[in-house]
This record gives sequence, C-alpha cells and structure tokens, in this order.
Amino acid sequence: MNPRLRLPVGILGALALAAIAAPLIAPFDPAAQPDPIGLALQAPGGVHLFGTDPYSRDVLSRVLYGARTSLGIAALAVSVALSLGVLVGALAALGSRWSDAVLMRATDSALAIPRLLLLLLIVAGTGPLTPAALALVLGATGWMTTARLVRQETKRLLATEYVRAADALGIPPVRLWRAHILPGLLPTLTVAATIAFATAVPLEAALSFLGLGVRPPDASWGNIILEAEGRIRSAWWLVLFPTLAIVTATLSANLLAERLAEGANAVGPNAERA
Amino acid sequence: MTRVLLLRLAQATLVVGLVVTACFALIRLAPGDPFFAALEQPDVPVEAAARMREQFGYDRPVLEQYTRFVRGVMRGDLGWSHSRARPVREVLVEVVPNTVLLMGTALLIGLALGIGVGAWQGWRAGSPVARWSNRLGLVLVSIPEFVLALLMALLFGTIWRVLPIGGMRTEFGPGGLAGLVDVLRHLVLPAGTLAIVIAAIIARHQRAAMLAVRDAEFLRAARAMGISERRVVWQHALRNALAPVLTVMGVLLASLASGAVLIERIFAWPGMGRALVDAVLYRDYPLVVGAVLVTSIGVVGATLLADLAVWWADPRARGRL
Repeated sequence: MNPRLRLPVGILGALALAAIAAPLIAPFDPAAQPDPIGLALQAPGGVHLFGTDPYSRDVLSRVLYGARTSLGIAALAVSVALSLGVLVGALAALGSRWSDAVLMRATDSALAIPRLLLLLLIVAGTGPLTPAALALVLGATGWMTTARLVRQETKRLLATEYVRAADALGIPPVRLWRAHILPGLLPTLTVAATIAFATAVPLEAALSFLGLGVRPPDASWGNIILEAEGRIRSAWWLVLFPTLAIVTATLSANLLAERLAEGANAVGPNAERA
Repeated sequence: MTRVLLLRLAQATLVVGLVVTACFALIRLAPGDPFFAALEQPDVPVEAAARMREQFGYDRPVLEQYTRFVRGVMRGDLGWSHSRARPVREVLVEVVPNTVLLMGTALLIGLALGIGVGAWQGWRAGSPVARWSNRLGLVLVSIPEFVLALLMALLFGTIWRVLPIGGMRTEFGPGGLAGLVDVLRHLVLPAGTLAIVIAAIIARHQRAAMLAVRDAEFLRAARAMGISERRVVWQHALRNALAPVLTVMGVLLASLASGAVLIERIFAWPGMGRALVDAVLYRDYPLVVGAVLVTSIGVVGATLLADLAVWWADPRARGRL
C-alpha cells in the first residue's frame, strides 16, 4: 500500500474496529440509566471515563455504540449513493441524447435543493426514521455528484482508442461498459466514495442533533451532543467527545480522499459539503 | 450572448419547475395521510376532519391538487401554515430578510477571506507556511458547521462571555443606532462561523486554481512584457484562477443554505432555517415546502449569476457556457 495512505486508513480502520467491538469494550450498557438523579452529568474521571449524560448514561459507552450507528449509517448511505450515482451516470453517458438531457436536468434539480433541506423535506413527510431508513434516505439524496463524475468519466473513456476498438468489435453496450469502462472508473469511484463518507458522517450527526435523525435511546454521535442543549458550559464533555469522534472520522476520510486523488488519475476532493 | 443567456434562463426555469414538482411529490408520497396527522385522533369527529380537508382542498384528486399547487406558487401563494395559523408567505416575508442578512454577511467575508488566503497558498505553494496553512484548511473543512458553531458559542459566549450567543436583538434593548450595533453584535458569532466554513472551502478551490496557473505561459509572457509583479498576480493570475472558483459557487451556496439551517438553530437566529426546523417538528408541510422552495429558487438564481460571472472572468468559457 502507498505509505501516504497508511495514516488515514489506519485511523478509519481503528474507528471501524471500535465500532464493531463496541459490545466487548464498552464499560456499560449505553442505554442503562443507573441513577438518573444521583449519577446524572458526572464529569469525566473515575468509573465514567467520558462522564455521564443527563440521564446518568455512560458517555464513553454511548460514543462507542454511537460509532456503530453513525459509521454504519454512513457506510450504508455511501453504498446506496454510489450505486445510484453509477447507474444514473452510466445511463446518461451511454444512452441517447434525450435520456442524457433528461437525466442530467433531473440531477441538476436534485442538486438545486440543498441536501439538508431535501432531507428535512423527506423527514417531514415520513416522520421518525429507523437507522436503516435514515441510511437509505441519506444515500438517496447523495448520488448526484457521483452521477456527474461517472457520466463525465464514461464519456472520456468512450473516446479512448481501446474502448472504440472494443466497440468496433461489436461488443454489446452493457458488456462494453462493465468490462472496459468500469475498471477505468474505479479510481474515481474510490475517491467519490471516500468523499461521500466524509459528507455522510456530519450529515447524520446534524440530523440527529436536530432531533430528526437517530432517536434516543439509540446512541449516535449527533444525538449525544443534543443532550448538551442548554448546558454546553457545565457539561462540555457531552459536546467534546462526540465532536472529536465526528471530526476524526471526517478528517481522516478527507485526508484519504486527497491522498488517493494524488496517486490515482482521479478527480480530487473538492471539499464538498452537505 | 443573448442566446446563451436565454438558454441558461430556460434551463434554470426547467430546474425550478422540477424542484416544485419534487416538493409536491415528496410530501404527497409520504405514507398515510400526509396532512393533518393531528386530525386522525379518536376525539376528532370524522365530519370535522373531512371539513378541514375540504377547506384546504386535500380531498381533491392528486392531479388537481398539483395544478392548484403550481398555480399558487406562480402567484406567490404558498398556502397556509398550520402551526402558525398564518399564510406561509407572511411567515417567509418575516424571516427571509434575517437569513439574507446572515448569509450575505457570511458570504462577503468568507469569499474575500477564502479567495485571499487560497490565492496566497497557491502562489506560495511549497513554502512551509503555505503547507501548514493548507493542512489547517483540511482540518477546518472537516469540522461540521454545527460543531464549529457549538465550539464558538462555548468559547466566545460562555467562557469569555464577550458576545451574545442567542437571538438577533437584546430583548427590550435600545432602538435606533444603538439597536443596529446590538444586531451587529448578535451577528458576529453566527455569521463568523459561516464565514469560516465558506472561507475554508473557497480557499481549497482557489489554491488549486492558482497552483494550476502559476507556471502558465501567459504569466511568463506578461512578465517578459515588463508588467509589474503585482499586476501579474492581481490582473493576470488571479483573474484566470477565479473562474474555477466561481463555477463551484452553486454547490457552495447550496451547502451554505444547509449550514445556515443548523447555525440559526444553534444561535436562535430568527431566520428561515429555524422556521424550517420548527415546521418539520410540527409537521407543518406547507411551511416546510415553502421554505425549501424559496431556498432552492434562491440557489438556482445565484448559480445563474455565478455562471454569468464566469463568463465575465474567463472569455474561454464563453463558448462552453
């Protein structure tokens, strides 16, 4: 592996490992409220390394279980977004001029609604979502940039000699795309996936922070911060630890995207935001 | 020029039309009766619920509701906000100027800062200071805006207590000039947070663009003609490096609108974002749709303006636009 990728991959791997191993390493049950009066809002130290929240739940355990929810949702959202993006982008590039125009105008309109607002619109209609549904909705609102990239790259590859040669041999379009164009798209897709991940993590956190994403008692990095509402000064640990987790995940994904783009012949991270 | 302009206008209109349709469809596709979840209570008489639905036209066929909705939007009538018991338009007229004030201030400061810093980073790329400031930039774009807002509120509002962290005015505060100063003081933290976010994104694009033109032939030619270094940087390099940055304005504005929703929520800024979040919590669909529509139309319009700015900045783009 490229040595410059070791650091971000290592950090992301460690986070994923912590998420998977959460039941083994978390000191407490993340939803347990041992003493909502006596043990509420304990400062970090002692038994509760990251302190406790207003319901006396252990913040370290909630951050660890939150990693499961938040990273799991982000990963699922990325796979949905990427599949949709590849589908739309490939159809636009390979189809007729008309389907290209229709698909791209649809992409433009989806991009014209700011993503968080689109999510709010959907959540307003559906009401509270389960984590899996939230991941699907996040994915369904994040395919547009990938679709544009895939269309652009497919068009570029269609013009190359080897693809034209394969085309001249009479290979059907679907096989042509799968066997000769998809491999060429992989570097771009890897970068796109990493960027999509770096956008999905803070988006999920933002929705949960607004009280419209993952709902308590399920822990997510965003809804732990929500518990600090109105007491950020007295209970700074409720803001600090989940925040560090979000920033670590986002930063290492952004770093990975940047370094992947240097190495590969790919369109680099554009520091795109929700 | 007129032909391209008309084409872009037609495209923008089409996009707005699709957005209007999407707004209607997303709300109508919601499972169950999307309107008036409150009416499905056992203690609400069936006739009363039916009368309410009839009053707002929700008992009509979907197609008729859609044409009514589109006609209403074209007239500027966005329906009735159930949670505030007022027309949606009235609510928006009240909150939109506050959001425009917040976003406009943030955009001006953020753009100036981002373009300046990014151009400098690109021009001096390779020097240690530029490298470190670039790393700092990556950290900054990785901090979600609501987290940054919370940290700012924590630092300036509660630890040092130098700035107000909630609302837009002091309650029962002074009027006149002192009142204006009061609003500006309330504006510092929310607008500052947004400005930092914008500056970090813009600086990354500007740096890349500046880096791309730094060793260009036309700069060598300009220098060879004896043009002063300052003019080379400002007139030739920066103008050419500005176009790629202007093209991302549309995406940037969309993300800025998302950021404003969260920042208004945290700093209790009485703008559209806060009204939107409240509307979602109260399931006040017409207000949600109204706020999303107005924002999207704003983004489409601003993107159009940004495209025209690219036209001005980069003559090469004129054929492509």
